[in-house]
Amino acid sequence: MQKTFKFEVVTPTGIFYEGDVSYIKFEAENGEMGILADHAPVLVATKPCTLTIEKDKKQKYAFISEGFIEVTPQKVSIVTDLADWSSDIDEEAAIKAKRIAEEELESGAADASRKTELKVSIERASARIKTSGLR
Amino acid sequence: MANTREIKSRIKGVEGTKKITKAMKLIAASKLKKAREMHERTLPFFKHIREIMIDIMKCTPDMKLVYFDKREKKENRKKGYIVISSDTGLNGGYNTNVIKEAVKVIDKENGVVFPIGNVIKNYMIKNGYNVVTDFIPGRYTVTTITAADIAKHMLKLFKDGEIDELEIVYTEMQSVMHLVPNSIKLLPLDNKDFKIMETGMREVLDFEPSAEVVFERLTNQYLQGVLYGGMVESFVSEHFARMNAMDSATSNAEKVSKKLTLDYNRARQQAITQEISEIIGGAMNLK
Repeated sequence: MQKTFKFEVVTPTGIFYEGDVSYIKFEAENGEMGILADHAPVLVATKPCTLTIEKDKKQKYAFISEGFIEVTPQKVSIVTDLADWSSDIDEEAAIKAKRIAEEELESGAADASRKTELKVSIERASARIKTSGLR
Repeated sequence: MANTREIKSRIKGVEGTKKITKAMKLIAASKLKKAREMHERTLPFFKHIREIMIDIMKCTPDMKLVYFDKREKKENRKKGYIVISSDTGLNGGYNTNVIKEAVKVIDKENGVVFPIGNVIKNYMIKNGYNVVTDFIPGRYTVTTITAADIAKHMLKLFKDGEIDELEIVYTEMQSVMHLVPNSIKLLPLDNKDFKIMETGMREVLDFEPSAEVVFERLTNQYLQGVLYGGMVESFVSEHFARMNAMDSATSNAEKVSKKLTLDYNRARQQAITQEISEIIGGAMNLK
């Protein structure tokens, strides 16, 4: 039996997930990162990515937007703006959103701040698309 | 005494008004309930953000960030004010109170007003304040998304030096009967705000990529949280004030309608009495 730890995902619309899990995986600014029980305390800024939650040898996938993960000896929490289970993602809408953002970026009409905004939304849409295929 | 037909039409009018005020009261009550539930769901999120910020402040107390810069030496400091009122009236003293507080707080010469709600917008424009109205992309709704948009915009203005201070004027619901207009400072951030909670020591050792980057991102969400809190509280207060106003309007309508019914019956009785005495008088003459 693998050791578990308390884990939660908190969003502005409520607590998205809460439970004892054995492993989670996500993407930080510097690359993919996994967390097992008894991880050293750390605070990481996350990118829009697929969050993998492993519990009782079963894996669940969710999309999370940018946010933070806080690891403390008591609990691991992800604080993010948005979270969706892979089965709830509207893949078509994500593809469409990505295409629109890409078109605007390529047209060159966007100024610097809008460009970063567009890049983030492309990142978000890509992560959504990637996540939606996972079951 | 008015004639019966006239009174009857007045009763009808009052009853109609009563129906409307009653419906408005019910609508306000249901909106209030919804907003409260929504607010409760979001609380853990913003509590978390605050806790993380406190943790960071504890680990790196000497961090220098643009959001802590008080810019005391700068000349012509510009102050920004977000003022929340409602779009429509019929809610008792709610809007008047907000306007009173806003007038008290706002520095008219160096202040820029970001009004939320038609009532305050029109008032500020009419009275010659510097008003910015297009700071919300799209329609204003009491959601975290709108709050995020406003927070982002305000942080940008602050960073660019367009405003050096930011305050929000909203209505706080202290208790059921106590709606108090209040103003709090949002920017620059005050170290003191993040040092109150010394209980529940948590040691966070590492930051990735760095404490500054994490903190900057958090500031955005923190501001969003405070803004959203103010928005919800104002919204709840508005509907509470409306509920109360409509409640007293309904009971008032009831009173008026009761009195009118009495008048109507009296007038009717009088008419009958008169008619009878006329008939009797006629009959007597025939004898």
